[in-house]
Amino acid sequence: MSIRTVHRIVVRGSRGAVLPLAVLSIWALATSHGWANREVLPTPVTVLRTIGNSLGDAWFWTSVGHSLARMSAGFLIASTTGLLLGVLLGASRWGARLGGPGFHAFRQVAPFAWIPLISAWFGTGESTKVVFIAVAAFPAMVINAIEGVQAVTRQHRELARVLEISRWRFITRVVVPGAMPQIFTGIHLTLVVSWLATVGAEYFLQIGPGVASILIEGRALVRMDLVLFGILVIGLVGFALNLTVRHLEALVLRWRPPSTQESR
Amino acid sequence: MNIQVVPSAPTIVAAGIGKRFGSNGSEVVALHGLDVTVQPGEFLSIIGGSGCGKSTFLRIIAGLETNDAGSVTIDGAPVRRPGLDRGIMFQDCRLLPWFTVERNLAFALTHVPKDEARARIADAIRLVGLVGFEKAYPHQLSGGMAQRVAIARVLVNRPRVLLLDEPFGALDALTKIQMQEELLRIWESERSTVILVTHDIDEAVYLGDRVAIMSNRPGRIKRFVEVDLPRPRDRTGAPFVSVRKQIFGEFFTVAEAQVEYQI
Amino acid sequence: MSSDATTGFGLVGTLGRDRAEGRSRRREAGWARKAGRVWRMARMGLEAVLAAAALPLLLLSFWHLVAKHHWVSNLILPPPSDVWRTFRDLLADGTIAGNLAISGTRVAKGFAAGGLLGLLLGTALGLSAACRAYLRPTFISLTQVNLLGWIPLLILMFGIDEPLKIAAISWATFLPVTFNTMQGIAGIAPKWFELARVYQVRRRDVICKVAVPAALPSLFTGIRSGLGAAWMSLVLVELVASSEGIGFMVVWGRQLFQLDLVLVAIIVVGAVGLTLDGLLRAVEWRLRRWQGAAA
Repeated sequence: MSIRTVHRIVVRGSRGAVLPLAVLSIWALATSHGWANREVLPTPVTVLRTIGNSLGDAWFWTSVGHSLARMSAGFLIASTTGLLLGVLLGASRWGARLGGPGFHAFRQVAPFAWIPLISAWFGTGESTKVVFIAVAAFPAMVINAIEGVQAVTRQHRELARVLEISRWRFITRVVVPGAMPQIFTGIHLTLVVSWLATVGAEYFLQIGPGVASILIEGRALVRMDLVLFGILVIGLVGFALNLTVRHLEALVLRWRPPSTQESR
Repeated sequence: MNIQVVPSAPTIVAAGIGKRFGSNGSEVVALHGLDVTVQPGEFLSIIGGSGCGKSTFLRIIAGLETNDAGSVTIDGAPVRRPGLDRGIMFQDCRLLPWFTVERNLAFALTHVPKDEARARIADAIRLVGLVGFEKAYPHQLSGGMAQRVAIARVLVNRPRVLLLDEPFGALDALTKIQMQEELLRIWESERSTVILVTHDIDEAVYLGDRVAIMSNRPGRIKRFVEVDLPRPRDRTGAPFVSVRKQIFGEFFTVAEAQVEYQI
Repeated sequence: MSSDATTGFGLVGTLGRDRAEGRSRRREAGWARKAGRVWRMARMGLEAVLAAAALPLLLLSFWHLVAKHHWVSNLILPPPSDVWRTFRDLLADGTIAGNLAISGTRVAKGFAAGGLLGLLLGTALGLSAACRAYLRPTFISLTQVNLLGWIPLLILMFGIDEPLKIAAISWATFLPVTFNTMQGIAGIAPKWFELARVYQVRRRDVICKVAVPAALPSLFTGIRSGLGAAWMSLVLVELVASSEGIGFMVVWGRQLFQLDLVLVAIIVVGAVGLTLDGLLRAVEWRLRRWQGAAA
């Protein structure tokens, strides 16, 4: 790494940090000078202490584990069923005509509206949460799978015919890699929605250990520091998930040319 | 049907032009020591391979880039920024896709009162033969038609100087020839000073009064070739071919036809 | 099967339909051709509608069977007739309309506020690289936290009354609108600005005639995402902290364990979502006429 690159990173990093640092300083000043109600706005130190305590607490880590487990279960269901349905709707014209409009209508229902119904049908245990996560995340996968399959254009098909490629070869060497980028986008989005749905289900159903319990507790006890900590955790997990998928994507899709940023 | 004759076409003098791209470390010298004087009403073709800096030179005259060394003057006045006295035509015709043909032309006439703008637009459309397509969107036009709109747009302001940056590069060979004829027809009615940049030898010789051959890295004019032929020119005639051969020889080694002797 | 039938179309036309059309074409004037085409289009439309309705109708009949034979308790899965009756009743006594109105105004206010702020900030960020350098990292980090994280915070700040809901909806709208606006404006190809320089176009015209149309597709994506987010956050907020509105209807039905009510509410939510989406698509299509095949 040349000195110039390091210099550039430092400058860019420091510029980005200006706003957060400013907010942090105002916050510290506000609390120390009592400009804001101590009850509502805790000092930064209080928040740090809460973070420190929780990180050392085993209960916190089990909660995170539970949330991630739920999310993974729902995510797996959503991505597999979504992929299958998406491939069906994308590849088969009759499939699209039969299932398309129904799916489109289903999509229109804001996902969280399903929670009460699902909880009525599946009780308030783990299954409700997992089912809800799957239901909420599943459309994202379907849409991207459809687009991925449709990306294999007529030209590719013609090429395969001209070169007399066997059907199996065509599917494995052309269709699957061709649809991969979009499928990966689908996986990415499904993961993001899964995490959102996990926190949502936990928050709404309020039973069982999970990350959302931090938020629930914070709200019930009117402890802003807990709430802020909860937000931090949610954000960091989401960020970590994003990063993981992005790296996986880069690894699997090495052949992709860098996309241009130009907007139409 | 003729656009009013433009005020007298100017002399363009470029002396010792130099231009660098990049900054401390990886620099590319695009132009160095480029000298050329274009006479009033002259049609100058500049020909060179890709990356020789010919487009950069044109953009300097247009005012879109600034030269690091040397000076460019038009009738003595130095060029610093873009202006309506110089019309530039891009290779990508660069029609705003969200405007119709009419409004694309109107875009070039924002400094002109509405009535006169309307009259000029009508004239220009008639001139390039696109009557009936005023309300068409660029995506509905063929390549040749889009370039014709670009020509119309470049002319509505009656610029004294026309700068053409590989205007027909994106067209197929047959349309290209058609457009070249169109361009000549339009130019001959008003005789502005024209600089055409191209990598097509035929185009350069067919259109230009003079052909400037540019060398690569650093970009400068290697040689001028006079095309002293009356228009309309015969592309297949011997005089044309001989001029073409001179230029061709600057870029490629000409395979000598074997002459057989019989005793 | 004379060669004339196929010659009428050149190389095309080996299908029986086309052959029949070829015969009628040869036979007489344009009206037969037009009638044939209209008939074909009507048939295609009918086919599409039938295909679309097939699956839902199948599900509906299956549902009816299940409820009728009590394969699942009627409490858990109320028969379609019950749902339909509840729907009619609630429509008649204005419950649906009333709740929709409340939810609708909330969404409208939140979407307007969030959307406007988003457009403004997004434009500022898009235009100025310096602005972006200072604000973008913070902004991206904020988007990492999904809406649910913000709700308790907002509750602590605004209580659980109307301001909370508007705030939540505005925030949910604000994020995608800002992001897409910023991308759209920052991503405008420089060649358009160069063109404007060449023609000495005044700044006001540059914004109206170049920047906005060029960024419009992205702006529209932002507004569409924003509306989707607004609607979704409305439902969420009403589920969690409300005593009226469509989202509340769902919870209310659940608490009374009247699943027919829940189903009616869900259907209404879906229908509204469908309408909004359709409306936006129509507007977008209209505005993007110029994109033609290159959409």
